[in-house]
Amino acid sequence: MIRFINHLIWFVGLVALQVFVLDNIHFLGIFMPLIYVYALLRWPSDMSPKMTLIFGFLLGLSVDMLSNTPGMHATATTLMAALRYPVLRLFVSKEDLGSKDVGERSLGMGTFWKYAFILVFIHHITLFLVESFSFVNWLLLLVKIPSCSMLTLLFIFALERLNSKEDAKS
Amino acid sequence: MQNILRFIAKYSTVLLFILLQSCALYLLFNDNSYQQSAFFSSSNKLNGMLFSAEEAVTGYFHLRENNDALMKENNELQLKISRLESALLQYTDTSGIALTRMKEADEFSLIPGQVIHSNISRLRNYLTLNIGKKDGVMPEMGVANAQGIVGVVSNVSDHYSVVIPVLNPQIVRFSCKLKRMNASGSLVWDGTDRRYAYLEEIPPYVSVSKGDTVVTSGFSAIFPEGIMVGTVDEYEIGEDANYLKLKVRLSTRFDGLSNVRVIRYKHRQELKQVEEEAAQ
Repeated sequence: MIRFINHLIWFVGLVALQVFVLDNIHFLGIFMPLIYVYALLRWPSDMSPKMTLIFGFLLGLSVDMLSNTPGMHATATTLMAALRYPVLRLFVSKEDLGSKDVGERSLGMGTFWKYAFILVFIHHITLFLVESFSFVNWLLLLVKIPSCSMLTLLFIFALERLNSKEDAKS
Repeated sequence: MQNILRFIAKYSTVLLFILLQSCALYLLFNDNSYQQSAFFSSSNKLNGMLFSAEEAVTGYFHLRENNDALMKENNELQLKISRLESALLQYTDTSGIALTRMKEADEFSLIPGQVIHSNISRLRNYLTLNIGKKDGVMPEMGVANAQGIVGVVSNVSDHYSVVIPVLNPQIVRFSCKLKRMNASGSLVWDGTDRRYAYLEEIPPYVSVSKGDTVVTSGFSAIFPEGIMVGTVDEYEIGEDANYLKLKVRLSTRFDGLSNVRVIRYKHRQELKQVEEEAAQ
């Protein structure tokens, strides 16, 4: 239960950070980090798939509500939530997953970053395709998707550092 | 019946995924430009409160620039007053003309407001203002600041309103014209650079030069004629050579936008009604 509340606090904190702080930061006008996906990345692996889906949907929906983009983020996070377990299983066996939190410490550095990279990339591709659905500027998309993904991963890297340090203490 | 239940139980996760994803896609494709559901627009109460709190902090970041802009606007207004006063002196005795002009003066009135939240890094951008129905704001009213046009109001609640700025392709096209030649076209943003927009549908025989001023045309009830939009930066002939496409440097700086004015047109209802009747 305490673990569950901990994840909810991360949810609220990251959405607030995204909408109130990071949405005001844009490098060169178009590049921005989408840090809120971290809440879904570190969602425990032993939660039922249904809970994961609902969590992902609500995460995207809250960002949508606060930034006037009905359905845009929700589409991307729901897809990400659905693909999370399969991607995780690519690198980790069922027994190793257990009831641990998903993170650098529990999965190992390499595995966690492969997992994070793939999911962040899927999320960004979906989001930007959906955003520019009827207004496609392919060149801009080709620049935007990888650069924003890198930026997001950079921010996740920083948060993960803080997080694993905290875990080590407790 | 049992088979159906067993099927649902077996594929419940997949079904849930499909359900949630279709909810998201429904929301995505259901957003009419003007009739977005009240649930989502940031004019709804919770968001309004949150963003007011955010503005309480971030509002201080741009005080200096805002002060400068206000000072400049003040100066311009002072100049205008003195110019108008001198013009008025000429007419005081031959009253006829002066009186008719005075009557038209209050056709448009201004409602001052502040931007409390802005999204300008996306393709479809929105601004939230701290004024709403109680202050007389209605959907489809124009918004401008001292520098030039900002956008058009889309959703309104009692105390807040959401504005679609010029930086939002495909939803709005603003009718603008070249001040010098009086040739009009429509202004669109291409989704890349926040400093520039494009003026399309200008007839090809118009002689344009760099630095020409672009102002609103006054063809709609949104803006009165002659509000500053920007200056021509580059121009090229359109794809089928039937029109010119001008790159316009917007005079409004959208980063750190704060003080704006909503423009209320007194006879808006009447104009709309007549136009609707004509369209039928």
